[in-house]
Amino acid sequence: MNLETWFLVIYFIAMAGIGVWTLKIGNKDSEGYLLGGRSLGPAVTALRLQSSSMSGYMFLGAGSLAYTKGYFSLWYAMGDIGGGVLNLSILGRRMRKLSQILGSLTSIEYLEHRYPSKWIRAIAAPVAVFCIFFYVMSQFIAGGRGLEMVTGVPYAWALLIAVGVIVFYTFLGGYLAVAYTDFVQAIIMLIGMVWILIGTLQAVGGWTAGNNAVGEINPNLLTMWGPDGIDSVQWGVIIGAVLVFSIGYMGWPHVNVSHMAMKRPSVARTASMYATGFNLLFIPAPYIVGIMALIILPNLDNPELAVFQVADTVLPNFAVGIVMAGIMAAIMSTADALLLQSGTIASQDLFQRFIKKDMSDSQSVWVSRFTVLILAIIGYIVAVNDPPAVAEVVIFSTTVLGAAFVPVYVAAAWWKKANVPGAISSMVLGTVSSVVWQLTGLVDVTGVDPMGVGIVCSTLGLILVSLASQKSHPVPAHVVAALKETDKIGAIPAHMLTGQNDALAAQVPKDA
Amino acid sequence: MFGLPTATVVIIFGIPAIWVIYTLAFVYLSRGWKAEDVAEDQDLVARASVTEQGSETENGGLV
Repeated sequence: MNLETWFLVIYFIAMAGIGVWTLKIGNKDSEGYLLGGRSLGPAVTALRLQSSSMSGYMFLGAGSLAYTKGYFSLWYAMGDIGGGVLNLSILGRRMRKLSQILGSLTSIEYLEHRYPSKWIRAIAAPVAVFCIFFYVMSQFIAGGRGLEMVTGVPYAWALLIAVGVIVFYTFLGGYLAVAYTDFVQAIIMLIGMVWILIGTLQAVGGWTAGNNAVGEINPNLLTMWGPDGIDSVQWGVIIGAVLVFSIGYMGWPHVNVSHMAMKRPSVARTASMYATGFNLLFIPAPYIVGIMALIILPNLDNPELAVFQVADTVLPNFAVGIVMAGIMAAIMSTADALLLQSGTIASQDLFQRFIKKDMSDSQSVWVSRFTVLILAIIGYIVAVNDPPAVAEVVIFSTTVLGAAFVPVYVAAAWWKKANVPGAISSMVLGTVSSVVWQLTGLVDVTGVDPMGVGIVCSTLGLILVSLASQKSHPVPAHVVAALKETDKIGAIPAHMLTGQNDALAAQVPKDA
Repeated sequence: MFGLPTATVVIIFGIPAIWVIYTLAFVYLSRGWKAEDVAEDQDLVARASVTEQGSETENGGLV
């Protein structure tokens, strides 16, 4: 076994160890498994939020985009850097407080409590699970390819190992395991990525020399307008690129659950500084490495492997092991959050809500674990047989999630007139418009990104339908009261906390 | 600068600078959120003392 493989083995054991540890310290009830007992501080909240958002895309997709499109690819990074602080500043405190008042344990359940109708959950849960499945599959593929390259183990076996470790600790410790492993993984990711960047810039003789060399290949690669120059620039795609990873985060259920698990609503404030600091250091790096790969590895067959292969070329053996652990950390920290979220949606938002309402906490946790296992097996089978490109899958699934959910999450916390018909229209319009735009090839015809179209449609749907249906479907009094309480800075009054757990039914109308 | 066109330099440094300013503005404007933590702590202490008094009464004041 080579040195790189030893590093990965140690890393896998450490992650599994955290899973076992959190199993011992965590609460055994649903709130403990799904939200870590709402006990997380700013550092864990911020780094968990960021590492679960970053994914294997940062090492495969970002490098590939940069290798093929040069500095144009940095439009994605420009939005991405502000994604964390936007999410925390707009949703953080309010979502934490409102979810506690309404007694919500999952980010989909929160939507149903805010917009009290079973149709909210009946629409939101399948859309979220569908997108999350594709997203998690892309992470499996990234993990398998990374392991295959480092260890030389065949792709199928490498994929099995990557999936096995992720499932193991997610299965054991629930949200607490995911949060703490994500925290550790964010630090490993940062160290790994900065190390690759430094090694890469040293190899090309510095950033300026590297840029000059790239300019000799194609001067347009140094511009923000793409390899074909400003005449062929698609402004709609640029706006979409910035939107996907800036405001898009606010529609991702597996990321928004971080707000609900914060120890206090004010944690969002400090967490925003950690998030922006992490993003500034981490996010531009894979794009710069991908661009410099044009000089270091000019004849790369698969651009998705640009960052992997640059690391392998420019770093000493022992450093490659640490860097590869960082790459696996990015992949695993997203995959575990996605798997846990899909398990949660299946157990809480579908099974318990629509099939077996009297399910105990213990049964609910086991349904969640079983779903994690089933999704992992299906994801493995698809990924091993016909693996699609990671970047395409990630951008497609995150676009749909953003288009479907950003307006409903933002309005849930900020707009007292947002009601059930408005929320349903918003989710349906956002999902349908972004999927149709993507699948019918309208992106190429119009030059407009599906994220932009989806967000506009879902926002207009929410506003227009909510305003038109205020008389027929007024926002319930208990929701308005909860929103007014959320506006205030202060402790939640005892009588407003009756919605927690067992008394949840008191907050949700019986006929909802 | 850095061998890049001016527009590229302005965009790749300018937009992150806007996010940094946004973060600092958010942290400054949300400085009052600390009051929420203090209120929550006081509330928790008050509830704990009520619970203790309740349990003493249930036991007839006996320890």
